[in-house]
Amino acid sequence: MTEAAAVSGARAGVSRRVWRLVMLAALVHGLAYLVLLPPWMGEDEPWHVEYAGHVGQGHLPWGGEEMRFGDRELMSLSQLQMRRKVEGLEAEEILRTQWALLDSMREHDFWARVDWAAWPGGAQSLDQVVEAHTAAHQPPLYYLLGGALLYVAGATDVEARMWLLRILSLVAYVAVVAATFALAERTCRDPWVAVACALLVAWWPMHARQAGVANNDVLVKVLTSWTLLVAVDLAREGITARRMVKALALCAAALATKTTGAAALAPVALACAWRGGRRATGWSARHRTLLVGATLAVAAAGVALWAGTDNPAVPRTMENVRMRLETAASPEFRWEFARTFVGAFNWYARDLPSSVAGALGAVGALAGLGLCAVLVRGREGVDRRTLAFCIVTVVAQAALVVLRGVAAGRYLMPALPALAVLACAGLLGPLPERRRPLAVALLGGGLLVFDGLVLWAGLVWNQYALWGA
Amino acid sequence: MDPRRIKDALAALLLAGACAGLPLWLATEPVPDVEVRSVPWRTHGGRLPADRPTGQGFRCRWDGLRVIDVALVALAPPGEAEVELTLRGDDPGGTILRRARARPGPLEAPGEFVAFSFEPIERSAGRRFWFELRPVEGSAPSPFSAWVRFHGQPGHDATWGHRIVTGPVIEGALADHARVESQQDPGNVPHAHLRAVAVAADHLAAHEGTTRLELWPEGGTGEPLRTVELGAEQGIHGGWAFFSFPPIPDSRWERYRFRLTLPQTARLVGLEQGLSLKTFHGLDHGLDGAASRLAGTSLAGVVHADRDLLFRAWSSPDRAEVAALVGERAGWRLAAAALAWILATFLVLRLARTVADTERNRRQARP
Repeated sequence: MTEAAAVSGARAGVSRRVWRLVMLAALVHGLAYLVLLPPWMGEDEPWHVEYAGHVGQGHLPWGGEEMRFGDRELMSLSQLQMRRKVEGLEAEEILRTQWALLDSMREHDFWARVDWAAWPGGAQSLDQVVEAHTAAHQPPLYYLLGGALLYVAGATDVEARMWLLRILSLVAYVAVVAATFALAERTCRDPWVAVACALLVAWWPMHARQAGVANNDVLVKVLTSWTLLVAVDLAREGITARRMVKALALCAAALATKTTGAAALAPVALACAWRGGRRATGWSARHRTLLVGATLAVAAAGVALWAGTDNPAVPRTMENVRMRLETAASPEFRWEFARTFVGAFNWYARDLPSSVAGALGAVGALAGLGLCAVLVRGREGVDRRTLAFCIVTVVAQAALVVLRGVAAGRYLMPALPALAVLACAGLLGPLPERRRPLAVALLGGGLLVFDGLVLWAGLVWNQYALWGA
Repeated sequence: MDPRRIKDALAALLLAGACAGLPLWLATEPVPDVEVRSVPWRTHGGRLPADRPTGQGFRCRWDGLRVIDVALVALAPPGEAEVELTLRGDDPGGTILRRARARPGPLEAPGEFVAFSFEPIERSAGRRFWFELRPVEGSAPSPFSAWVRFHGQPGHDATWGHRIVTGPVIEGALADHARVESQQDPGNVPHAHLRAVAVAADHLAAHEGTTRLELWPEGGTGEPLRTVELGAEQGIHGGWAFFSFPPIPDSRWERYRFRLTLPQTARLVGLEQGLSLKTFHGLDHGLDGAASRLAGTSLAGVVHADRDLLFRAWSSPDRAEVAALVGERAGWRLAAAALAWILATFLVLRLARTVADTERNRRQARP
């Protein structure tokens, strides 16, 4: 059976119409966030737009000019990093782009909205917004893709570039919802569960908000979620050369997008070692070892790529690793992570009342208990194998966040489909099938209320009502 | 049209309205009339003197001005010390409109907003006000200091020191470029438009003698590039003294040396590396109207338009006025997003109905 046929077979339980409605609802919902989020209010957007803009002007994201001692007197650090990364970029072009970005940020009241942004008047470089910050150390794939889009569209204005990249983010958001729906169908035959999983991902406000943010996080989550899907198919349907190439290509693409894409390797490695598939039994231990080796080779290539570009996400010493682990163990880290995953605004400068995170934590704990019951006792129609892949993905993604030592909820987003499947399996799995529609209705209602709270009382209020003078 | 669709559309409208309306009604923060939001709080002006009140001017957006919160920090044990706020019309010399007192008590580091409430001023919209702070009792400075936001990007950004440095003349380099160049101090980026130097002062009373800052390019002799003298109104006790001057456009990565000429009584504060200094860079012009609602601070009635106190003023807008403000700022986006959000809710309801129908049909088809 071909893969397309397998996918179509898996979707047979739920009508095509349901799938289309899910996608359409997600698209329209993402559009609401895209429209409402003011320009430059996505975290790190100016730097990502700057980088993609240069690539869109025909420069390659490698082969730039090395930094020399004394160069800092010529340009600021972020400008030098861009010159160092991007091929053939003249100082004039770098300066002009940053000035255009700052002008646009001033025009759109960036400083009124972001409480820690010091002062707009006279700023000449992005270092006067965040010192020494840059996107230049990021792997190149997102910028190649985004740059190609900007090139084709002929966008020269920085704001137009931002909006085009945001549209790409909207597409990425819908693609993640699609992956979640497909993953949920593989987890549970009950269409209510599949719908609940897709809605949870689509209506999780900080994920929906990513539909309107131009940065490379949006691409890495697409690649990770689709890799997970292929890994699950590898385990369910057996290892085929085509699936394996697809899985490794997705992994390589994730690694070439962002360090947080490394978690994509975990389910693939698990799938290579998995012995439960129908065809998988035909593969010898030697072949499996070779496949795991190939996965590790992709991982090594990714780490080499990051290390070669001085990516700050890669720890250089064991001392550095230890410090990051200590940071991640602190309550402040956990709170920062929780609030930026649940709902934070204006470049994480403001957030929701802590009671919201508490309430969601209680629902999460309930889902955890339910998941334990499903995993231990099993439930008819729930595929525990797929749940195992989801757990591995979430653990791997969380481990990366810990190793990175930076508490940003968006770093967990690549594992959001897996997390949603686990949460829905935990909340709905233990219930008898006839009770699930009511439970899904309650879950959906709760999501709508949560989304309303974040979008209208959080995002709109913080972006348009509460301004600093 | 299918009556079920109409029903779904009405349900979506109601549901979306409730899910958006309830949070907007119940869970939104009140909107201040004007607020200086600037974190982290970097500089404060020192203990509030009794004889030279510290003030701030602002223009109100709405009617019913009723509370002013000022960010204060306790620099000495506060005890029962009170601070009085005097609200005037127009400028520091304007008619006194209201007085309000607050007993801040022990504030958490690095300080808190302290509220000064008074009888609402009915017609405050569009009008300029000026408030001044001073200790209530005695002539000694208050234990409290008001936080100040200077108009500029921070450059060299030293912390408060632990060593006393005295004059009458202190000289040195404005920033240690060797440390910056060698990445020991990577964040310390000297920007363009150098426009102020703030100096940590334990005691600096400009009326006690000449208090002057002179700047030269490194290696430069002759006339200084900038000379600033603090006015006699400046009496600083445990705060940052701002030497503000016309911006130097090409200051980026330029090396400067400074000379401070101080009264004999002056006690500045420093670290092992030298005097605790902060530099500020930027321009005031080319900004939007938000900044113009602030009129700057005042010291003993002398206005300093290049800085503001960290404060927020509360008036009494009704919901329609706040909604109008949001509508004005968000424009078409608000309507478009609301439509998309309602449509998405409608699609979710359709989705639920479709799944329910599919499942019902499936069950009915079972033998």
